[in-house]
Amino acid sequence: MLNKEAIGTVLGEVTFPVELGKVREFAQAVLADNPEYDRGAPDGPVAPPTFLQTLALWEPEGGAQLPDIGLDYLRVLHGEQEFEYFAPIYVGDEITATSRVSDIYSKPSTKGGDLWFVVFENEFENQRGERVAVSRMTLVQPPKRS
Amino acid sequence: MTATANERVLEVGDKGPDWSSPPVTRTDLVRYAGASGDMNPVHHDDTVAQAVGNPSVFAHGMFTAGVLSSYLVNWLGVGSLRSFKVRFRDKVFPGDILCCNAEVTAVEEADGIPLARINCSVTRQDGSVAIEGTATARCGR
Repeated sequence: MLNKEAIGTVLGEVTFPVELGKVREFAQAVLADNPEYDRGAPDGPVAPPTFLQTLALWEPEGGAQLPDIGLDYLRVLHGEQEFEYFAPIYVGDEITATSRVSDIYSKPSTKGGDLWFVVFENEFENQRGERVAVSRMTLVQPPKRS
Repeated sequence: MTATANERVLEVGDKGPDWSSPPVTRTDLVRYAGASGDMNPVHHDDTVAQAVGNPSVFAHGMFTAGVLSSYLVNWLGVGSLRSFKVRFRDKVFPGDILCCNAEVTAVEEADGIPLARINCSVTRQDGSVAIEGTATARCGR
């Protein structure tokens, strides 16, 4: 049983620069060699679709401060990851990410007990206040095995 | 979005190109760990991975998802994706080959812009599904 009252809790806000070297490093790490990532699309180099995962490098040591949801992190799995894109992210942008707990719900497991789902949402804005992307990470906690 | 290099004309049933990765190496996993900042040792330290019941280190789910996004971008153009969602089905281990697949399931208009809905997945050399997902992409007419 998780604490549904944590839904809506804002976990924090962090601002980070989009740097050419980081974009190039990340693109290589996901086996992308598109020239748009280092030499540039018409308006300059852009970030690859899952680049916003590098937000992890800007969070406090040990990850974002989490409210008391009741998750057992040794049992938790990364179930789903989603991105919505509203505007390109360019090298040179300053991105501000706001993280919140957006949903907590359960479903009966076919093996008995409940599966619990916790959705963390990050909203990303650039230095002009334009919303550029939203990401959602769903963690899944399977029932405890006795 | 203005960064779209090209907008491929898409129809229902169109498939992405045949593409498979080289076998995944530990070097790939270390590179992704450093690039993403996800330093969970189960992805680079066999001792830790085995202590929690794995035969060896395994890939970050977001490594495999990132490779799938790179495949979609190579097909559809940089800047074309409007959304990308994946569900993690099974672990990827060193030596696995990532076979990327995508198919257009619908073409719709949203605010006068043609958008393709796409089902995508990564399967391994034995045909088992590692991740499956959906994407929407701006396309040409």
